[in-house]
Amino acid sequence: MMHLQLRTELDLETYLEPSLVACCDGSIHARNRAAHLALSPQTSISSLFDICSGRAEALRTYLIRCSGSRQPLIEKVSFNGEGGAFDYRCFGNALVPRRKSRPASLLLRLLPVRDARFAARAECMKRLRTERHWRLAMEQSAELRSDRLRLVEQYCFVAEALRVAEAQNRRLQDEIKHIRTDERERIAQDLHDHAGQEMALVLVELRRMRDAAHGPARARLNDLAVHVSEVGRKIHHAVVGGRPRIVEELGLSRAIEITAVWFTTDGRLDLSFKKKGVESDALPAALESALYRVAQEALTNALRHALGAQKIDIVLEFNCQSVSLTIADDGVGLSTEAQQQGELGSSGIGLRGMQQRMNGIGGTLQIGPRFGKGTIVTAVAPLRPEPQQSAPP
Amino acid sequence: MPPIIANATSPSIDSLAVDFDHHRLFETLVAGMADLLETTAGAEDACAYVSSIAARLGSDIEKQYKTALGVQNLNRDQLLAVLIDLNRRADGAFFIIEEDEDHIVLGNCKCPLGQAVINHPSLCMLTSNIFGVMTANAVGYAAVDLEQTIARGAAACRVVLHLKRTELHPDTREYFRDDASAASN
Ligand SMILES: Nc1ncnc2c1ncn2[C@@H]1O[C@H](COP(=O)(O)OP(=O)(O)OP(=O)(O)O)[C@@H](O)[C@H]1O
Ligand SMILES: [Mg+2]
Repeated sequence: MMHLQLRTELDLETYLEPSLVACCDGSIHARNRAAHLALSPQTSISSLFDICSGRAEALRTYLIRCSGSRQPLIEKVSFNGEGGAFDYRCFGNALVPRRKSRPASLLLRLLPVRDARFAARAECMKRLRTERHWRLAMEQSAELRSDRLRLVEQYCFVAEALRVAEAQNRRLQDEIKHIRTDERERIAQDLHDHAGQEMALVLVELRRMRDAAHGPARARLNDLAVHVSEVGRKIHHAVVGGRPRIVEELGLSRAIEITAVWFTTDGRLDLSFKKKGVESDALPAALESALYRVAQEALTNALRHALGAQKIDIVLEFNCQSVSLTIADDGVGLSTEAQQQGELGSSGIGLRGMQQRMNGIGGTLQIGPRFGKGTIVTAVAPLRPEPQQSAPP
Repeated sequence: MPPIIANATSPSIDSLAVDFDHHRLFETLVAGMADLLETTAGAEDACAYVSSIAARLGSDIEKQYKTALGVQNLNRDQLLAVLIDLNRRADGAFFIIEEDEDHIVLGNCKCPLGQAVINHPSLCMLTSNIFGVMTANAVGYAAVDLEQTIARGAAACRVVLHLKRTELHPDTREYFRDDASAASN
């Protein structure tokens, strides 16, 4: 027994945890230093039941169970120590089985009641779960981000398609305009080449007849010749009017200025031409054409109707939003009748034509008395055309 | 949750081929816990934990049989009958392969723990301890050898109960008559 005790005492020190050799009846045979420190170090104890804090019956049953097993059995036990009762996880097994009247001797090892490995494992599982949640959240957010990118991409694609469609639309409109211009030129050419020639022949014949005639017939033939000549002039006007080549070649302001100079070459009228602002190279063709035609007609009217006029003032002003043209004379001014008609559409086609041309490019045309004396025509053309107004009736 | 209403177009829920029942619940739970125990505490300590449960269960069952039979101690024949009966009750299928003076060899082709035992040898400590504890208390000593087990992939278990001390394999587990049973003798 002594021999066994010594041997187990030596062995016990190889365990780091409090370990003891006890009999199945609870009597303590040996304990290692750790057990000595943990279990009532001040007093010498002889039995486990002396330090057992409650559940003595459970301890007794456990010790009996251990006595039957060479392999350790685990049970929660509670022993008094320095700082009061303390719970342990006890690994107990039979060292020497019962012999005759001698009870079995047991090895009991006391470990913390909570197995640190389980706590670590639980911690690890918790961490893994958190990491999984985090990963999921990241995945979802990445998905959202890629959705957003896809939407932006699609938006850009649609915007680009729209841009292409708009460019195509613009090109088609230009093409239509060109086709229209070509057609107009063809008609003008026809008028000039056929009706114009015929008219000239008729006029020559009429004049010959007039010169040969006498009395009222001669006056009548003269009226007819004047009338036919006027019609011819109008046709010529229409033919020339369809093609402001001069604008294409010189630009709007130079074209208007040169035309005005032609109108006033006889020296009857003084001419003042002012250009304000910077003329863009890329003015819309329709705008240039409309303003040039307005200038032509206004100058024609001034020569024809502004009796007593001495001076014509032309101002062409460019700014970033619009181009405005004013042509003023100091003649008799509009008759009241013509003024009323000016609002609604005059008897002649000149004013109506000006109005239509300006409407056609989203601009405005006004004709009215000039401050002091005379008549002033104001045409304003927006550079970014407004939605088209319907032409006046 | 909206109520699930079985109608003509969808089959009734209780007749669906869903692999779940009472057994499956416990199998999954036991397998999961054994797995956790083996991987966390290691094979050896896992065996110690299961042994503790089994040793308690073994002495409790033994007590019940003894009380029911009205005996202080089981003799060898009673012991064998009890071991076989015990397994039948637990839905296992143990049978005696051979026996002589010194040992009893038992076979089993159906583990009471079902699929849960596969790959979880710590659960075999139930058999080892219950058989070991009851045999040692009946005849004084037992050493249990789990030669082949379903847990380790064998088709059937082969369990050898040595009744006398012999040379021990490293895996052989020894059981002694515990002090209470010895005292009552
Ligand atoms: N600068 C002006 N001074 C005075 N009266 C004018 C002036 N411009 C136009 N008018 C008056 O307005 C009328 C309408 O002019 P409009 O140009 O429409 O016709 P028209 O010149 O008479 O004919 P057409 O344009 O067909 O040659 C003119 O008949 C004239 O009475
Ligand atoms: Mg006119």
